Amino acid sequence: MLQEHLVGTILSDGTPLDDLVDEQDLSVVARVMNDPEIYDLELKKLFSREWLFMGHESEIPNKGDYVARRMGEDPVIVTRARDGEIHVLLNICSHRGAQVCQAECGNATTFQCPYHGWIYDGTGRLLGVTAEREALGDRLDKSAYALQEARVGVYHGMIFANWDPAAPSLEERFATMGFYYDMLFGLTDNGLEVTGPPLRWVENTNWKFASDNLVGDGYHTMSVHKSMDQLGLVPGFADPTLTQNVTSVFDEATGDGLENFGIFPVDDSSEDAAWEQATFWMGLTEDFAPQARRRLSAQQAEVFLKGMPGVGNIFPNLAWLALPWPTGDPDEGMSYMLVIRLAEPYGPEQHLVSVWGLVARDLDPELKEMQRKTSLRMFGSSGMLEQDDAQIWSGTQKSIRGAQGRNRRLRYPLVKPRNPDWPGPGYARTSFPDEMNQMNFWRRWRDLLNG
Amino acid sequence: MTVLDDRRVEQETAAKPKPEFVPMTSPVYAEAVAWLFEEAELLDANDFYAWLEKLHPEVHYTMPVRATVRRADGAGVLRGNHHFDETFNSLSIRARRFLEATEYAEDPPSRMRRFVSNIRVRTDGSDDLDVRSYLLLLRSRADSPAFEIVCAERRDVLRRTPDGLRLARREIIVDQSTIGTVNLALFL
Repeated sequence: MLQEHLVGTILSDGTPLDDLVDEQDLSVVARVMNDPEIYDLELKKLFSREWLFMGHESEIPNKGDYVARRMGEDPVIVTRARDGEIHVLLNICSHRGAQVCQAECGNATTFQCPYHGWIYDGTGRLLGVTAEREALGDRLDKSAYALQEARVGVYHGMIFANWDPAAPSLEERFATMGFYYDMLFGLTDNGLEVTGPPLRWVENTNWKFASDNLVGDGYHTMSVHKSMDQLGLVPGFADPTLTQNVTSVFDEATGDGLENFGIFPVDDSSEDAAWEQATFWMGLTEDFAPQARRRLSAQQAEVFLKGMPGVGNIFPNLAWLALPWPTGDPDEGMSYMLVIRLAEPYGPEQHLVSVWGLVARDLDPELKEMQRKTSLRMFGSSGMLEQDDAQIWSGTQKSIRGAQGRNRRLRYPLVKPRNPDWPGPGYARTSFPDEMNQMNFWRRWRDLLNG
Repeated sequence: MTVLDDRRVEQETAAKPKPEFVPMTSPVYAEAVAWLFEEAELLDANDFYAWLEKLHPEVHYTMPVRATVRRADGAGVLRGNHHFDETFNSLSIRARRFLEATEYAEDPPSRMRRFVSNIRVRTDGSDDLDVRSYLLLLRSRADSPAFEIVCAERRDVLRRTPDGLRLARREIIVDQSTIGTVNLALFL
């Protein structure tokens, strides 16, 4: 039996959860990646309490638009109701549990349960019941039968939902690291839009392999992704001397982590030139520079003009990449990709991947199209970067099934000193590569499962 | 990305004049079938450079997203985004990555077999043959006895050139809304 003590969670074999994440040894026991009991704890304590990514506002622009998504393993409908507001509703009829919505996207003013025909509106309110008078007379209090609704927040166009009424607001959740996310998702007045529906597939790896990698494992790129260099797509990609101006940052309170890439040269001959150059590296044309300049604070500008956030993970499972990158066709040349990659739990040894491309809504359509292609060629299901990661993680997943393997320690020995001069929030090190963002992810993960 | 936008695209596609079916007894039909079977042989043998020679330099190779939608909303082919959206050059880079660069997705390579069937050839008398076929790809990876499967219809344009038929357009209509293989480190 699982017991919860004041000291923390004890697993059914007597192992305290605290023993699985060792901050002194800088290691994590491999069973965190495949233990069904731990997976179940995650669904209850993590995916039921954290803000989870649902999609982007631009996927449901019109009243009545909806997409079917998941929170942990729970199916939800994300609607833009007739009131214009976004709602996240558990896709389970309040009567006998049937799915009220079977399509994964569309436009509907109501959702009718196929089982007994109960009808809900886009806010989850029960509107009507089949043969109500004959079935229930006047005894039915419809207001008690609404679809279960999650808390919803929108941050720079990204929709998040949370089951926990006691969780801090989305604004609080992004209070610290929003400093960096403004540079990714908030540079332009009209915001971002998706390049289309998400690309979706299942990988045979626990969801945390993806978070652990994308939260700050810049170290692996020199090995896993050296083909980018070999093919001449990104010359120097595997060269460790090029990464000396990368700053890794983690946030203890949220578990978020990112790498800030001070490796793209910014013309600092004048302030105008610097802004134009920096926004160019973020996939924008020079006419956006004044917007970016107005929207970022002086402190944000100090970071932004020296190097932009390039890759990171919004805890628990929303990774993002923002990099100037070639399209993959030498004739098309350089472009930019802003990709978000959601790694959803799908059993202890699998995760469901959804990848969206994002582009600035007001950007030239041809440039948008280039960025869409760059994203899918590099980080979609066929992505030339994604492919190799998936293969390596699934190898680990297979290897740690045995009695020895599951008790092996995954090690994070790369520790670097804090950069005291870093102008942004979080715990920053400018001495790439290190593995401290990952240890911070695991610390936050452990604390939530202990809570 | 709304479903309605996608239906608009499908209606535009459907509005094009339908060319005539080429009878199965025609040498042109046999030529198209042979082209597809030879292509499958090259891809199954990982002979990607020989495969590239069968492509037209202006080839457009796409694989739209597939979704489960209500019947009234169409076939759920969402062309707002693609698993593949490729040119000759980008396909060449992918081929070169497999054959010449350090990569892990397909080294060691999986064993793949492409079953091509239900081939229909249409022509409007121009240099382009409209060829549709079903593709069943079985992919065996590492020591797993279970196959990963990709099942799709391919809508091709084979263009007649002095060097023979060349693939000028391919749209892969995959049946799974969630792709059933670990990655698309392959050609369909």
